[in-house]
Amino acid sequence: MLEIYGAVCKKNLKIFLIPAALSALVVAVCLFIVTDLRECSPIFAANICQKFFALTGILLLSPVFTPEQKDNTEETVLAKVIPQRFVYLIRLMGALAALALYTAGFIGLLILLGGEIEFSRYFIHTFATALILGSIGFAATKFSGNFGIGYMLAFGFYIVQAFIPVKIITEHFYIFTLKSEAYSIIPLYVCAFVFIIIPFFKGIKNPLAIY
Amino acid sequence: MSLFLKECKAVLKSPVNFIYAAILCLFFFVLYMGDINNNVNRGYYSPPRDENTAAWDNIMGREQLPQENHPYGLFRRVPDGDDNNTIKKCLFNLLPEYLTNSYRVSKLGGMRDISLSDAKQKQIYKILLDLCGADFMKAATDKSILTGGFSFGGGVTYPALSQLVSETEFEINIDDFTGSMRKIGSIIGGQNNYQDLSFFITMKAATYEEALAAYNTEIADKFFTQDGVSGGLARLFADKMSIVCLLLSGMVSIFYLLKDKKSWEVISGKSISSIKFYAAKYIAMNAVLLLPVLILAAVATVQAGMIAAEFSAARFDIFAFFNISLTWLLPTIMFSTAFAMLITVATELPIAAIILAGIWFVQTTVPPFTGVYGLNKIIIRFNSELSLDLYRLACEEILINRLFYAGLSIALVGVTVWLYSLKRGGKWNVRDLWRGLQKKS
Repeated sequence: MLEIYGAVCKKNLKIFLIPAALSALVVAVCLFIVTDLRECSPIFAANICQKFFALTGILLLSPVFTPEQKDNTEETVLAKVIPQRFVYLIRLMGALAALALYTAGFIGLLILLGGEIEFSRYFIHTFATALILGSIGFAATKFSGNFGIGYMLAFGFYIVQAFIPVKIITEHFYIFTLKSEAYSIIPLYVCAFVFIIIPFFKGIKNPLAIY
Repeated sequence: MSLFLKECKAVLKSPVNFIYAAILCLFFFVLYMGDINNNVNRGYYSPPRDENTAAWDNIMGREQLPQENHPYGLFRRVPDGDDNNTIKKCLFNLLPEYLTNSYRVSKLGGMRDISLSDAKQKQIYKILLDLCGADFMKAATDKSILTGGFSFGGGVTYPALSQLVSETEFEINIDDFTGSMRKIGSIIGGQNNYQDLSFFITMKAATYEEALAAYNTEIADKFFTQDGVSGGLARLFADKMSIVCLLLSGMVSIFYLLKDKKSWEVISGKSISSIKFYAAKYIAMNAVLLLPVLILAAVATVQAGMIAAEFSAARFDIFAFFNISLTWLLPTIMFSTAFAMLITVATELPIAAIILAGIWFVQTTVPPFTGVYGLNKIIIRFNSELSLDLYRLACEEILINRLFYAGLSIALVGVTVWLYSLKRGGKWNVRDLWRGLQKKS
């Protein structure tokens, strides 16, 4: 039985994690092309990390359910002995690990290039932003059965946060927390946890599946 | 025609389209209407009130009232009118940066010091030579001019250079100087102070007569009469809406097109030509994506009409919002959907979403945002309704820009149609390509 689980883990990480991780890597690499990241000031690094790099969260977490959306794969998979929740959990763990690794690597690189930033603080805040964006896409994809809606809601949420003044809508739930000490990351982590956990509850089976 | 209507219906019913429309409405009511209502409530469009302004004077130890309640509104401070002073302040800033080849610019929300290539330095030298004359530039580029520099106010001051600039009488027309500085600003790149000389204009506390004169020029004449109220507001409307249109309209088309993957064989077997098929799809998508923009333009027109009536504006342009939606926003939507269509048809994957997100990020985050409208600007941004002068300066640039993106969009659709016809003929099979790549990995 362990061998079967091992094979499932390996296969799922291959079909899911490689494309998602590659696309997230492309995003991170593009940053180095678009702008000079040497000797970043704290404000500049905060913008780069939370306003651009955090989008990798959407790319890594939103497509967790997408392999089952092709060619009735879901029906075939559901007929198997291994619970589907286990498969999703493997993909989710892989995505979260990749996200943590990328975030740590990116911030480490900024520090290596002369950035005047504190690793732990920037890591926790950037990871929180990426996680909340990704978890919105994750939950929206699961509930709607359509990864397009997951992407749209996640990106839409990001755009609203980026452009609508914080005091009007989102004072207690602002994702660009590095801007000020007044913004807390705890609500972000709590909501991300809720968005990630709810799709795993038994009984919730794509109530709004449209495609 | 029936295919076009069917496609319109399908896109209209798509849930991603509702999300796009919802976010567009959110931006409209919170950002745009919110800004305008704030300006009206603060009395920015009302004439200055002839009241005692002593309570707003910036005197040490005296409690200040909030500036937004000032009787003179927007015009509580006015330029001192000394163009020579503005020119000298600008040169005080520019010359040390040129001589040390270290320019302070804003990039991605942070200030950075950049150096330019020799070729760009020569271009800047030529402009300064034409403006200030050979004698001045010979003195300014003398090796001893930078001696004795000391740090002051976050920068370095060079006494000899400062003395040279103060003692020189410049006979330069301010409009020519502004135009030359804009050129220098473009050469330097990023967001810098030379693209808009307002940073160097010395402001002073206005008297009632000066505030009234400024109000009559900027608001009564330019905004209410020449712009017809809605002209300026329409530019602000386009500024807010284009942020959403560039990214989300492309995403709507990506996820709508990916639906066709499941019935690709059925569609390909139909007798309709590739051109008709994709033209109908493309036009339908643009029509449906533009629809909420036009509805919001109608709402904005009504609100602008109410402002014009309240302040008895001399003129009101009822079509300004619709003109702006068709001439500024539609090319953005066309480009976004055409680009997304091409990448989606070529790869059958939502990769275009990532590329569009990157393009969107650069367009909305990398300065300059306003004042420069070259071919690298997919969206046209004006962050103020009182921007008639800037609009007139940039009118031609904007027209060329919009025509370029409309033409580019049609070219991209042409390439998409060609790729699709290759796929239909079995000469482009992207699924085999992905399968091959996956087998190798």
